[in-house]
Amino acid sequence: MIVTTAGLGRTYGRKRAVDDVSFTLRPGRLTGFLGPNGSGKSTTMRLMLGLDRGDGRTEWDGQQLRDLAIPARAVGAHLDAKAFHPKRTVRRHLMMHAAASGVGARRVAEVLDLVGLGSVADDSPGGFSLGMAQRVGLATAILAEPDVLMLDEPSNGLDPQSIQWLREFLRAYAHAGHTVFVSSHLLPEMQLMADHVVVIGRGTVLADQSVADFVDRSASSQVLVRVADTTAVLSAATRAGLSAVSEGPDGVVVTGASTEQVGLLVHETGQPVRELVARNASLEQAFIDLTRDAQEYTGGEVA
Amino acid sequence: MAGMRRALLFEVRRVTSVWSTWILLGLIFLVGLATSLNQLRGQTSADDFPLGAVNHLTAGGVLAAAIGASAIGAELRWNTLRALYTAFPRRTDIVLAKVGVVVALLVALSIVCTAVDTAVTSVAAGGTGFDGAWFGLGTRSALVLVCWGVIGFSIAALTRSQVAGFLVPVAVSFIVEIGLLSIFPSNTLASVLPFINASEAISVGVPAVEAFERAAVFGGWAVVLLVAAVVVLRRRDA
Repeated sequence: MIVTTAGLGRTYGRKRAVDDVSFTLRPGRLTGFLGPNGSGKSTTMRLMLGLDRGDGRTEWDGQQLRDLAIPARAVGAHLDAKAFHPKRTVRRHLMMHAAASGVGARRVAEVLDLVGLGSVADDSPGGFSLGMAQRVGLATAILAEPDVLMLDEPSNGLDPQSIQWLREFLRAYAHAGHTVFVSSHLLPEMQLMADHVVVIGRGTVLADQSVADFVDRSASSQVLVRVADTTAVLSAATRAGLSAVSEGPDGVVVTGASTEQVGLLVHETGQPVRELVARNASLEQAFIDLTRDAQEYTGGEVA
Repeated sequence: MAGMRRALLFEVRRVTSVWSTWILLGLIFLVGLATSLNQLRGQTSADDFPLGAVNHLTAGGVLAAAIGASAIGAELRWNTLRALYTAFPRRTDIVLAKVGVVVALLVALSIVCTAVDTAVTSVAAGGTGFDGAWFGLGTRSALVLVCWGVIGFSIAALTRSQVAGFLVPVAVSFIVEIGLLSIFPSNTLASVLPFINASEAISVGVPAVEAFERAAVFGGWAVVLLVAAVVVLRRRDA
């Protein structure tokens, strides 16, 4: 199912939380939805699902969600952690949602085993950890095996093994022909998981491209070298026409040079190299570079 | 139509899968039964036979408001409204399904309570009196109970508070209306206040036609509040 958003917008008071957001989600790929805190990711997802009233429209294979025969089979969404009655057992919670999508008890049992909740199916989730609660939400979202899966921060509270399981599940789900849309702050995880990214900052789309292109566009090669006299290295780099900044008490990061070039630079200063590391481009660095000016909430410098 | 069917099944599974529903229904039944059993000890005459049709409304209305309030209030309280509206983007379907299930539960309960309490009261009254008065009273008691539930649902929806859905009807019926009438004693005012009319509708001494008119006033309030609630739920952010 192709999901197309056009001109999504929402204002809260005097703040324009989402402004003219448009992008397309395609089947067969996992699209990561990235953005700083308060950038409008959750609002955008709610606008897409018609949960919040705002500008623009979202079409699901060219139709409004409300016009689909069984919306629960078109989209499964998990937007809120612990969105369940604490006293209703997990099985009954899923059976209730099964009614919305027309699936039966067999599928409920399948999903319980798939997400690892089979042993607690008849327990009330009120005492579940955040990780277990996330599994309940994921189970609810995938119950009808929807064409589109939308998850808002699904990794929150999951242990590393569970995160790995989730990553493999979502990639398999996407590559089986479904459309998967996941927002997350875990950028290293997203780099492993996503095929495509939409980056939002201050309510507007900053990037909408493949992960590979996104990483390549904003990151350049960097080399970290640790030496006794950083001033000498900084001067040498400047004379060579390279960009260099100090990092920590003994580090210099040189941009746009290979490790061999930096090694020769340090050799010119007549001092030994303590450490020489090439820094590969990363989604995290590309994201930080792109959204540096789009942060709503920033902390102070750590002394 | 298919959407409404799924919504009804969803709602039936929702409401029957938590203990609170059965506890509240059970309390309504027990209050009525207790009132009826109490009549066994009192000076009950044959004229009191119809009381069996309304004994469950001694406190049943308030508890019915709690049932109605929880139908939407629980979604707000446990943060499940977004999941609900994602599955049912045509919000009117699921809202009407919720009201429908509340109404069905309360009608069924009213029938059971009327039957059981009448049986007990007939022993107290020393005979049976299945006449038009009893049937009329039984019908009005079901209507009044249902309207309490609908009002609880509507106020919870309008205020986004399950607690308000229960407390506001209680406050209005036991404090506000009595206060208003004491400050502005007026038959005209009394004829339009919802809970005064509800009380008159199930009063044994009120003539049938007048009692049904009183029930209609109470029903009118329930309908108006429900329409407002549906409009708000359809338009408001989840």
